[in-house]
Amino acid sequence: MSKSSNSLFQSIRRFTGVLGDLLSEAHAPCPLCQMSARRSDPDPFLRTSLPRDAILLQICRRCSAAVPWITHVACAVCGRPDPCPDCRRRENAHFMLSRSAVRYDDSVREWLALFKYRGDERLVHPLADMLDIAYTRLNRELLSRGPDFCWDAVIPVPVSPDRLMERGFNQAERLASLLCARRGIPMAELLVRTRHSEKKSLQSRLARLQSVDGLFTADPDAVALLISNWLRRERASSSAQPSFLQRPLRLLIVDDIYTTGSTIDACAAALHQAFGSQDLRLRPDIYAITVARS
Amino acid sequence: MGERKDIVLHVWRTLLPLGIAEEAAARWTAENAGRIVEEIAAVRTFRKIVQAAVGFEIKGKGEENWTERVVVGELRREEEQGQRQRQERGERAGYGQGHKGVQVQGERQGQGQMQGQGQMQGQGHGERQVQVQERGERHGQMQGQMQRQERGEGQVIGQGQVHGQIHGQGQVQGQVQGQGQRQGIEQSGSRYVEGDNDRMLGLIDDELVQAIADRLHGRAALLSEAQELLAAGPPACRAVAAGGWSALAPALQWAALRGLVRLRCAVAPQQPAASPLRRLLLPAPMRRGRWLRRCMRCGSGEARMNRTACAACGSSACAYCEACLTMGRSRECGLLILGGGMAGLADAQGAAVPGAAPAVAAARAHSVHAPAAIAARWGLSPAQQAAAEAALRYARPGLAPAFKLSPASDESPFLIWAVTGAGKTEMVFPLIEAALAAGGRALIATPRRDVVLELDPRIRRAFPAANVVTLYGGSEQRWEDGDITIATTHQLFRFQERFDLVIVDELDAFPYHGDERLHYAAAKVGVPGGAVILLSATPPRAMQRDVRRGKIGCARVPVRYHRHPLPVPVQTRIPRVSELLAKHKLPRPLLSRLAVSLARGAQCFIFVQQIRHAEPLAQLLRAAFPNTSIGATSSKDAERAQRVQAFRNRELRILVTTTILERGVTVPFSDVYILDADGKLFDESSLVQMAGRAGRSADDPNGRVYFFASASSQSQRQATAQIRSMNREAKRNGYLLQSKPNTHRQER
Repeated sequence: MSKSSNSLFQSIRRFTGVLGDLLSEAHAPCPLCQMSARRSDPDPFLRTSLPRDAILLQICRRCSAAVPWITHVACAVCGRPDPCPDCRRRENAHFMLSRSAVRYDDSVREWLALFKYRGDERLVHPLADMLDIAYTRLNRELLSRGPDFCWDAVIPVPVSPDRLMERGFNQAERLASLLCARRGIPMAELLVRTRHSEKKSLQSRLARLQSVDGLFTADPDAVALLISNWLRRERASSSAQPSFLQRPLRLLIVDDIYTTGSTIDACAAALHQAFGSQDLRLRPDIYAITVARS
Repeated sequence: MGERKDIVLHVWRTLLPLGIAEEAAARWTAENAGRIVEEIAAVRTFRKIVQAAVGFEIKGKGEENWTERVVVGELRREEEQGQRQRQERGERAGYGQGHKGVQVQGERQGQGQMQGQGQMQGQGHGERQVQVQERGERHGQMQGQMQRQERGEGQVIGQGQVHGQIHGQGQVQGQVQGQGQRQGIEQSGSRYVEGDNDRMLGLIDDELVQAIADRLHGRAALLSEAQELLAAGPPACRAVAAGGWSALAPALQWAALRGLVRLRCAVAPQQPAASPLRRLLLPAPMRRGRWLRRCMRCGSGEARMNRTACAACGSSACAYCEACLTMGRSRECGLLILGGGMAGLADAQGAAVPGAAPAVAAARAHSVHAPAAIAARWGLSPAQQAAAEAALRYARPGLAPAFKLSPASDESPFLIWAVTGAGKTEMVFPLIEAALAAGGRALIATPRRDVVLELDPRIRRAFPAANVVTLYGGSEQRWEDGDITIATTHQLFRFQERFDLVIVDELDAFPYHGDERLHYAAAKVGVPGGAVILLSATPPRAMQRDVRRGKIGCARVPVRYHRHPLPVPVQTRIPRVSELLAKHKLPRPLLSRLAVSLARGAQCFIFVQQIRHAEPLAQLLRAAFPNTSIGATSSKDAERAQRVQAFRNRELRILVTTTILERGVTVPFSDVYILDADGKLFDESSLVQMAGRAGRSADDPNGRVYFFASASSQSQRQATAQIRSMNREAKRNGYLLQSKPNTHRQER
């Protein structure tokens, strides 16, 4: 009988342990560094920009100090904290401007690597919160220029089918979906990667600029579907000509890192081409946000 | 004569999808069963069926160029005696392109001999499809002599002999060894035809499959790991790895059909066994619990799973294991390849059949010597020798199955409870030697990477003839095979049923102490019926209970190798370290004892609970002892290794540290001061281990150990009691060198 009482005892212990874990939020580990410390009082800057349940408010003190926020923007186009040779070089960009939340230093590199390559999907929450900060900044900036600003769609940068099968998820799409869920913007996965390019992280800058040639296309059916959805929604509200033909479309591209901007540029070009081929009156204004800016 | 049975063999080996192959074979059987067919006709009809199924024309016109005069022999079956003979005679000469497929399906029972002699000469292209599916038992010998000369593109020129044995039970498994020479332009990799996925038609070399299975043998690998493993192997395997999934999949499938590897989901549902309470209360169908996900690689349960929307399998809640994420994603839709066990046999559920094939066991049996002789050779002290002999007696049945008296193997491990500094590594050498002599593989698992690196040269010195492989995160020997493997915990997850001897060192220091993963790993990494030895100075309480109840065998070594007793700790009351740091004052008892230690020339370990106390305390000490070099280190210290080395070289006389140095460090002539000994972080085993840093060398066996605390605590009392009881036992058994009174004890 001792055996059964022993196992009963053990199951009681296990039950209370699980219950205890559920009840003690305070002992959950910091998502970024997996240490068991939790932060006591979040930064006021974070508190104002993020909703109360954001995970970023609950990282440990050490990680919170280590996040390299971009505090001021030197290049108006790509949101870089230093003066920008890339944007000066690019003659006609297909996107309007891009903003990023953090600089791409070693800690961010590690977090993104853990998320993308190792596949630790718990990190999506703090990273999505960082993306949210970038979004908030961009939103404020654009609202200050024209108060009737609203977003039409969020488009994540795709990964090739091989990578998708290997990793099981598209990191940009995961980040974008959390953002869209929080901010109530529709997400449209319009872009597809036409060929499999070598891992960007292993390419030089020149190779990167060249490798995006014709890399992305927009799926015409998806674009048509999106437009018809908009039409249907507009028709429901008013009977005049659809508003999105009178004003430029506002699309937001989401990616994890902005290095040269060539990816975003190629995506934007593909989008322009796709929308243009559907209806010449459509003029998308394309913006971009990324988590990190290298 | 018995009645004649018409037998149709499916014999083909191809890169066609298995489903199509099976379908075609089934259809062929349906149409042609009951007839004796000539091989050519069989081939023709078979090819038509496959063509219809696959939808394109198989290359192979010009079979009329083959002048084959092969008579598929009659197969006779005798019910009573079960003898079968099959003779195949023929000459095959042909030019041009040809296609050959031979099919046989049916049941075969009995013994028989198959002899064949033939000559095959041909020129040109050829494609051959061969697959075997047989049900039934076959014992027999296959001997053949084959001379083959083929010339042409990518063909084999040469001759060879095939000689082999076939054993079967439920599935055909076989060992075919070939010896021969092959000259030619053929390279194994070049036989693959890579093309569109639905047009692949090529050859799978039997040898290649065997090579892949050998490489995967005894391991548990995810798909990406398997590819890396093959990429580090012989050239044939490298070609397969380079070909990606499309080249690897058929070879894996074929190997799995033959029972050489087992294919599993990396995260699979399992039903937990029924507890006695459930068995009592519930009716039979409801007794076993809910199906719960378990990571088959590391044994973690639902608690460590994360569910996510997975693009690879389309599920919106595909579970992956977070516990072993550092070694690759073990996910529900992921493949886990388990290399076959020792015998390469697998039953229907895929578990390896325990016990090796008779031939292997016989080879092992005669090479295990008597335990006493082995222990004497290694220069062990009497206590060590006794423990080693006991362990050998436990281990011998595991290492040499022929000695097993009972068919059921004893699954429990064996504990060697040896005090700190008893020379655990040396005690284990006889066991390793026995394992190697029996032709098996040994594993030493230890929690920390520096211990792995420290053990490596010692093992190499002790066993110069053996191939030693060290495995830790980032080790370059990751995919090598060795006779002796030294690995950290995580690396154990990559093995399955590979080691005949498993030695788990520092059992209680494993990360995630008490975690089910450790037990899972230790259980699955050894060959079923092999020997598992646990080494510890401070086994956990549950294990001590099991030892007392006789569930686990145990050998105690209560004395250090230099045969002096363990230093017994002295308890002293001082305020907490945080208070001392706040007041910037060190208490007199501490300072006076430190002065005594320094005066007698000893190095001083000072253990503190918190990392942030280390450096400030070191500062205070520097103020108190201005002429002594004092250092502080912790797990957050980047220069920890250098500081420890400086301490070893006596450049630093005092080192303030956290529990990071509680194990594995041997610094001669040292005293141990443990501050905040009543703190939560210092439990009984931790205190015993820290106390074990003192008095390890033969020149200074009487190092001092001090517990400084603000109050007494149970862990301090238990630690002191344990040390005292070990000393008593040593004295009782006569292991101590002399029984002079321990002056240290009277200091209290």
